[in-house]
Amino acid sequence: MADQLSAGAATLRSLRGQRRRNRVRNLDWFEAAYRAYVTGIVALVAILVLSSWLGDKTPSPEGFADLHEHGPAAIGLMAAVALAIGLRSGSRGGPLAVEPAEVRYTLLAAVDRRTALIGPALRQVRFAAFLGAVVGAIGGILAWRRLGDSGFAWAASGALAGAAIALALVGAAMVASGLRIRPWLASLLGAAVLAWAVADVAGYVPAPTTTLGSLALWPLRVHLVDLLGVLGTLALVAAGITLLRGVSLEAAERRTGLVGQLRFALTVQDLRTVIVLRRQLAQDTPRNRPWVRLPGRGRFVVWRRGWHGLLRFPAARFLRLFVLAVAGGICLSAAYHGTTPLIIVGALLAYLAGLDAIEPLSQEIDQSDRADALPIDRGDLFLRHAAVPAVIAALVGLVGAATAIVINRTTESVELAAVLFLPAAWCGASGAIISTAMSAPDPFKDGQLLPPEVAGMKLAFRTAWPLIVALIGMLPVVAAHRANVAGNPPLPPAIQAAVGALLVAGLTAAWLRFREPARAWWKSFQEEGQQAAKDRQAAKQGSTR
Amino acid sequence: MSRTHPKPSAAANRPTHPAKPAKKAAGAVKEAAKAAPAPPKAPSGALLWSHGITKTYGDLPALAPLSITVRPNEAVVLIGHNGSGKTTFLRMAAGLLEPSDGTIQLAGHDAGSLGARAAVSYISDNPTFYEDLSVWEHLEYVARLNGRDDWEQDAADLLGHLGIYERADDLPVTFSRGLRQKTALALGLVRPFDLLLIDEPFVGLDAAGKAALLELLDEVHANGAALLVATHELEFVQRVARCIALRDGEMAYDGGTTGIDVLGLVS
Repeated sequence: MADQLSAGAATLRSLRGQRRRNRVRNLDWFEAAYRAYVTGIVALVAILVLSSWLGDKTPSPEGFADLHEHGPAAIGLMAAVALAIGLRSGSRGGPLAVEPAEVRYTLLAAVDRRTALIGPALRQVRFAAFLGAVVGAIGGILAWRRLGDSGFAWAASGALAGAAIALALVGAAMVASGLRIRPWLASLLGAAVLAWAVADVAGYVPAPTTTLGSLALWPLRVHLVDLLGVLGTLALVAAGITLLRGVSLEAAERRTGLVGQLRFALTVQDLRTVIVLRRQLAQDTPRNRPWVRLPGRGRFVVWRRGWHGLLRFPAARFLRLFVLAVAGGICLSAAYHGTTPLIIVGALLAYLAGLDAIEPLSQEIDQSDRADALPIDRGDLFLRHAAVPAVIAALVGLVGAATAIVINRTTESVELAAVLFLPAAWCGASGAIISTAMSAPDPFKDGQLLPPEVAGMKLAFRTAWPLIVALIGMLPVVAAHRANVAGNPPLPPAIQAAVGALLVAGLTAAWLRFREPARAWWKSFQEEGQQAAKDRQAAKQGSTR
Repeated sequence: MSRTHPKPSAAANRPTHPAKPAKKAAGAVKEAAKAAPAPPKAPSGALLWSHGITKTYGDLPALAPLSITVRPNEAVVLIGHNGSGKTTFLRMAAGLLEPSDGTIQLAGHDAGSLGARAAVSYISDNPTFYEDLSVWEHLEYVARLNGRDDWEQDAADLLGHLGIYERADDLPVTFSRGLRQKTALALGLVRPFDLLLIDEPFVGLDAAGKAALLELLDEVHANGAALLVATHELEFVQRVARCIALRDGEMAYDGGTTGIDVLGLVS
């Protein structure tokens, strides 16, 4: 067997080399250069936007003091997020995503699994470190513009911290995967790491992840103890590589097919497919038996169908909805008290909750052939399907409102929460409905007759519009905040803005109902126009003869 | 063909499972020992031994506690209606799925461990291939990775027997369902094994392909390997001595094939 193992390893090396040569030989260099060009342009635009947003004003002495005190823990929070994501990914078989054939022929062969996987694992480690270093260096340069001193020092410390944070993610994932940590345990560990880092940001207890944040601020002052964080990260990666032998084939095989599809769906901006695949990857699938069986037969079949689907939600999805609602309530409460940018986070959370809440409608849209076979108008059917999601979104909004009330504990907060929860929740759900009903953009249909610049803007608008609708639901909070700052009662402007937001939600429902007939009318109008033009042309030619 | 592959020999039906080297490497022993809590012992000489294995997907049980033993050189057919648990059992034996409970061992090693992988060849009902390797390159890869250096003549014979020798330099990802199935069969048979696990091998094959496969399976068995084949093919049921029927994840029958009512067992 020893001979067989070493022969297997040598064969693996030589045959992988052969595959690499095959790939290089068949590589479309023009395509590769174009992809590099597009990536470069996107990165440049992102840097410019970020740079102009940050500005280059030197902070005040208080600002510097604040940076010294809270900066390391705040950046360390990013490392904690990376660790939590890594643990979750590893518990589902990540971070490696090998080809299906690799699972079938290499990992099932009589070859040591660590030998088989070490190549892909090291490639992933290298790539993560590179990407983290690049992002960190860019962050360092942006910090240098505001904080001064040596640009090289900022870039270098940013790169080191970025690489370490990226390696922490990959290392944590490899360890979780190698030890086959259960998803619930990984979530618990991730939450504990996050809570520790948040406690450090709040100034309660120092967290180890802060050392990585402190590393990014070395141009301000050097703490050699921060190197312990880097050593810890390297140890995590080394442990992950040592534990490669423990990778679960079941998780690897499930992941391998889904990750490829997920990347493709992301490339073509097919949000619905991304959601469905992500759920499969997380094994967030409907329960075989519902939590509660609906009694009787009932009159409203679409309404019942919606509840049948919702009552099969796995516990994790209900928990996610609850967490999103609580986080949304916290964001809106903070936005009302002056941290206005948090309405963007609140809108995003409402949108994400909406994507879960509209599941019965999304299922109907996924199975459009079935909808076409029914003797009901599609728009009418879709609108009926929106009823149950509206109830669920309202319940999610109520949880968010209750959170805001618990935080503030005033009569005013109760009144405001009662006015604001419905527009916030329904606009989030409306955004989700728009992005799901529009489905993925089709490059061959969308903007086919438009100049590329206009087509690009149309595509960008299409991507942003659902989030804008979700954001409209948050505007009553801004109206209330402004009135409060001006010394006026916040409720009347909040009610006015809430009515406007509810109108947007209503218009979304109307769009869902009448989209198909409107499209059909527009198409027939265009065809009639073309036919008339042809007839005119024919008549003209006839008269000339 | 422009390559220098050996031609299939006249009979093109030579056995393709040479004995494995017997020595165990330190890594193999370590890997086998790592996952070795086995309170009930496997019967001596059992090639495949499962004890009370179960599998659940979420809250859906796919396999009730199932205990199956397959001895060396035994040919067993696994039958059952759709969703009865045949594929789940085979994938667990191959190490692709982990049991929710119970123990499954192959040649004395836990399923999926290095020792078990060296003893088992698994042919799935859903063939997958590397996009950038031809049939011949796949055969080389699989055979050499499993420690066979003298693979070429056997590979040529297998391809000849299955009628795809002329397609050896083509990419199997471009093949039709039947050709993909034949390629997967060749890949499963070109490597050494003591136990061959095959899931629905006859699906998608033409009449000649089915006949060729039946002959190959007979030869594999005649040369000392054990077979566990999940199939609905009645002709194959008649060729083996033992039949295991699963119904809703539970064992419905385990015994001889003479005079059994196959249709009754799978309905």
